[in-house]
Amino acid sequence: MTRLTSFCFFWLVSMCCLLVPLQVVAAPITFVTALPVARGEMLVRAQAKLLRATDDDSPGDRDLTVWAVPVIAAYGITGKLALFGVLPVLDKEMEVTTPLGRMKRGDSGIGDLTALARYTVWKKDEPGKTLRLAPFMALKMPTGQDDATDSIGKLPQPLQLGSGSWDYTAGLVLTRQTLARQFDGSLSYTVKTEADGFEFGDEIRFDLSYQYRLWPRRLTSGVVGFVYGVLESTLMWRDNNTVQGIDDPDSGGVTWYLAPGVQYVTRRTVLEMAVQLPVVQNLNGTALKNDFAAIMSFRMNF
Amino acid sequence: MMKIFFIPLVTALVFFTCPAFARVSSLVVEVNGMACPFCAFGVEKRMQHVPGVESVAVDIQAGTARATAGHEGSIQYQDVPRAVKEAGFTAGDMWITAGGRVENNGGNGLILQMKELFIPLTVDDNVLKQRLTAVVGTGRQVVLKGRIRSKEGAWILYPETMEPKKP
Repeated sequence: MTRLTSFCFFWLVSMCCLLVPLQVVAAPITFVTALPVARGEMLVRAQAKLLRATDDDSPGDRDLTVWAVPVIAAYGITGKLALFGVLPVLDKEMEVTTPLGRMKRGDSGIGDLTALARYTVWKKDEPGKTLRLAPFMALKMPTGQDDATDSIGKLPQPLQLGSGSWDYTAGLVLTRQTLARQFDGSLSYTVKTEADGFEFGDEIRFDLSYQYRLWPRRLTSGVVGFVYGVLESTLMWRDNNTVQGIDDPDSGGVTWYLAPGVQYVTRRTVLEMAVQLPVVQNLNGTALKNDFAAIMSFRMNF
Repeated sequence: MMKIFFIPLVTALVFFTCPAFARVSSLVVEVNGMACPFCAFGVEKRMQHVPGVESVAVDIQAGTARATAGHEGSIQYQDVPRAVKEAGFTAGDMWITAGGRVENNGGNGLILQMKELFIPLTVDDNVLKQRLTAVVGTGRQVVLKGRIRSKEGAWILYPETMEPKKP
């Protein structure tokens, strides 16, 4: 079972990071932007994400399916400072071959709550365009259950809904938006802490997003809905996990994902979808590789 | 003793000579940095909080927000740049449509006298200046349209057109 657990580690970390990233407001689909949330304004975003990971050469022949529905609320304290909360609902299921036969393990319920603050430190506003820079900090709290059991015993830590740890993220996002297109770039570092003798590896993440207005081709007066074509890139490096202070050789590595997508943006709502596809998965040991992650999302201004 | 009668008399005269349309009835502000429909809603919401504003219409292409006052209401234009800032953007130039009487400001140029306040006027166009001067002291109500700017803490209206009050 220990070997099985170690098999699971990396892809579950990948899953957690892919499915519950700090993606909260406005333009990019898979990460945060520097665009403002007006003072006193509340945005709510609900996402439905499906991750499949079946490319496993190990004897366990692991087959992972994860559904995640992160509900994200954003509130503008001032025109520059915005606070975000992310609460995911998760359903994790893994099929694996063991000496006892093919087995399913997993859990479903509420995961860890993440709070994020973002402050615009610099901006250059011009008619119909903006360039702005905003650092952000996030705190992931251990609100999800991290001691769930099934018929075999306690679930491996990565299969739990919560990590049990307090994790800290600091990052910087740059956004350039015009009436025709938008570019976002984000760099962040996440420090993971130990819980229950297990510690996920720290993570560096570099995201890029390009959105191009496909429709309407010519703008008219008023506020019309925009359809954007979207292409996003996520490059992640993750350190090895540690178990009881010892590095897990089957965890950590470098991944690069591309996510083509489409967005329909109106003054009060955004409907969007994207498919995140792995381009490079240079993972350590027998870490399970992802097939894809599909994301559908709906945002609303209140 | 005279003051007892004089003060209410002056007050009454001011109110009776500045009828309902002596007000800022509409305003257009440039919202720099606004470039998508989702951002426009925040501008609309913050502008709605400006006293006197009844409705707001954003034009993404023009990069402007137009505020309209309610019936007999007057837009507190001084609060508009702050509202745009609270929406996360930068206010550019503002244009207002304001009604009132044109008066002399005691040798310091012309003013547009409204109900509770007046706005100093700066007029570059000589023809318009003559037309404005012609209505000073007549009690005639006019509607001015033009750019309004804050200069050293004081708001100044740069009228571009003048129309008589419509019956």
